[in-house]
Amino acid sequence: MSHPAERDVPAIQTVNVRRVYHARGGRSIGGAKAGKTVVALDGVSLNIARGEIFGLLGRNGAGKTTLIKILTTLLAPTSGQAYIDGMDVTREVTKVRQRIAMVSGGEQSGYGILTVREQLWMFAQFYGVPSKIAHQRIDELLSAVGLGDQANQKVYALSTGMRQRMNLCRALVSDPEILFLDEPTVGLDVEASRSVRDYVRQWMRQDPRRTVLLTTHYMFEADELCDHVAVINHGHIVAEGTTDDLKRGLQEHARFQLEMAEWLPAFTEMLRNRDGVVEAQAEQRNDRTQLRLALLREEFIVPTIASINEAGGRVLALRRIEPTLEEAFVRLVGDEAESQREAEGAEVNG
Amino acid sequence: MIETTSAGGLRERIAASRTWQTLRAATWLEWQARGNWTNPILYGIYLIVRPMTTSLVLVLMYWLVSGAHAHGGLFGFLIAGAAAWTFVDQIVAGVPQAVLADREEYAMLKYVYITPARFLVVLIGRALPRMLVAFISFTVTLAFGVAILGVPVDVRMINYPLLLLALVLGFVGITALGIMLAGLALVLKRGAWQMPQAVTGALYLVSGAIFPVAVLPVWLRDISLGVPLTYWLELTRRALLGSRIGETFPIASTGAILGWLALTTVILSAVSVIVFRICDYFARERGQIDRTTGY
Repeated sequence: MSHPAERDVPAIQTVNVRRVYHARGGRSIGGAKAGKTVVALDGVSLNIARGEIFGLLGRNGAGKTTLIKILTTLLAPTSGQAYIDGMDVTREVTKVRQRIAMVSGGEQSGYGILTVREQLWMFAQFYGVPSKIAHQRIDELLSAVGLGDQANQKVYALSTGMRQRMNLCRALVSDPEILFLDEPTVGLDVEASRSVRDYVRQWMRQDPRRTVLLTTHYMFEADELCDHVAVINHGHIVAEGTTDDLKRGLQEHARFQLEMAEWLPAFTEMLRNRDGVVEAQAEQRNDRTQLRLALLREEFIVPTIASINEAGGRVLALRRIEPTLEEAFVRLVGDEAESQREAEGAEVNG
Repeated sequence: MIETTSAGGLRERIAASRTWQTLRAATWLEWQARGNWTNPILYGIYLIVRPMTTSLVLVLMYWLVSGAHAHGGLFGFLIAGAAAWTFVDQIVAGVPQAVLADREEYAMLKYVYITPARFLVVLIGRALPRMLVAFISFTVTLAFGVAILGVPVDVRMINYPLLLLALVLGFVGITALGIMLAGLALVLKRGAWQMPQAVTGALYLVSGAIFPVAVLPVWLRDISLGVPLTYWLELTRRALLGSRIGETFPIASTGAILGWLALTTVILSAVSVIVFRICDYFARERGQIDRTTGY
C-alpha cells in the first residue's frame, strides 16, 4: 500500500490478518499448549473510519487483544497487512507509534514510585511533547477525569479506578489520533466505569479526526459508546455493522408486547389463525393480560390490533420488543459448548 | 466540556528533540527507581556503606587466604578491581533487570515500547543513573582502601587522562553489554532474571576483577583477552596505581591495552546493537513484549 496523504484513508485497516501462536519445547505461548498451534486471528479484515468509536466484541480468547497488539506494534502478524492511517504497522513502526496510544484494563500498571504528574510527564517526553505543553495538558486531563487532587500523589496509593483514569490520561497526554482501549473498564466499579466512558465520549467530541478502537465484554458499554461494532469469534469476524444493524439482523420477526385490559382465552387462538401472526402468547398478570406477539412483518400490527378491538379486547399499551446487543452477541457466537468444540477444532497438533 | 490545548497545534509543536527528551526522562525514571525507596539521607548512607562492606568482605577473604600476610600493595589490585566492578554490577546486571521490572512488576514496558521513543535510547537513559551510583561506589571504595587498608593510591600520581579514557570506553562497553543482555532478557522465558547475574559472574571470573588474568588456565586467558572488561580493568588499575601493577598482565604496553580496549569495545557495541535488534524482532514476533512470565 502506498502512503496516502489524503485524509480519506481508513484510520485503521486490516487485510486478511492472521496470527498463529506456536508453542515449542514444552512452553505455552499465547494460549497454545506445548506442541500445539493456535490460530488466534484467521483472516481478519476491517476498515474503521476516522472519527468513529469502533467496538470489537468477543469473549475471552476470541482474538480481540491479539488484534490490538498487532495494531499497536506490540506483536507481528503471521500474515496479512495492518495499517494505521495508511501506514504499515510492521514497516513504518515509528510513524504508526506517533499516532497511537493504548489503555488496557484489568491490570495494575503504573510506576508506583512516581507521582501521577511525574508519570504523565515522562510519557509526554517519550512522545516529544515539550515540557511546558505537557504540564498544561496534564493539568487539563487530570482535572477532566477528576484526578486534579491526586496529581502529586504516588501512583501506588491510587485506587484501581483512579489508576485507570490516570492511565487514560497517560494515553491522551500525547494527543493521539487513534486510541486503543482494550477492555478499559474491566474490574472497575460502576462509577469509575462511567467516568471512563464519559471521558472517552467527551474526548471524541473535541476533534473529529480522533478514532477509538474499543474491545469489551460489556455489551451495554459497546451499545452506549460505539458507532460501529464487529463481533469476533475464534479469530474470525462473524458480524459487523452498527449496533442496530446487529440487533435487527438477528430478529426474524417483528415482536411486540401488548398490555390488555379485557381478554378472553379464545382471543389467543383467534390471533394465531390470523395472517401475518407467527406466535401469540398471553399471560395473566393481576387484573391485566400481557400479550406477546411475533409478526411476519411490522406492518401486520395495525390489522392485528383492529381485530382484537373488534373481538372485544382493549389494548392499553403497545411496545416494540428490540433484541439487546447481548442477545445478538449470544446468537452470533453460539453457546459456550459449541464455542469450546470450535476452539478444540482450531487447535492442530504441531 | 473541558478546554484543552489545541490538538492540531500540539503535534506541530512537538519538538524534534525527542531523543534528548527520551534520554532525560528515562534517566530521571531510573534515578527515581534507584533512590525513591527511602529518604535522601538514608540513600546517601547506603551509597557509602554498601561498597565499603562489599570491599571488606573481599579483603577479609584475601587476608585469610594469604595467611594474614596481605598488605596495602596487594590490596591495591583487589580494591581497584572491586571498585571498578561496581560499574559492571550496576549496568550489565541492572539494565536488563530494569527492563524486566518494567514488564513484570510495573506492567509498563508495553506502553513505553509503543511510544515513538527509540528503545535503545530509553535503555541508555536507564544506564546513566546507574553509572552515577557506580561512580560514587567506585570513589568510596577507593577512598576506603586508601584510608583504612593502605592501598597505595596517590591522588597526585594518578594518570587522570588515562583514567578518564578508560572510564569512558569502559562505560560504552558496559552499557553495550547491558543493552545486549536486556534484549536477551526480553526473549527468555525462564531464567531471565538470573541470566544477567550469571553473565556478570562469568565475566568476574575471566576479566581479572580480583585476581590477575595471568593466573588463569591458558584457554580461559584466551577468552579473557577477547573481553573488553579485561583491558578496561587493567587500564583503570594502571591509571590509579601505576604501571607496576600490570606486570602480571599478558600485554605490557599501556598503549596496546588502550588499543585493544577501543577495538573490543567497538566490536562489542556493534554486536550488542545487532543482538538487541534480533531479540527485539523475536520478542515482537513471539508476543513477549507484554508477557508476564511470573518467574
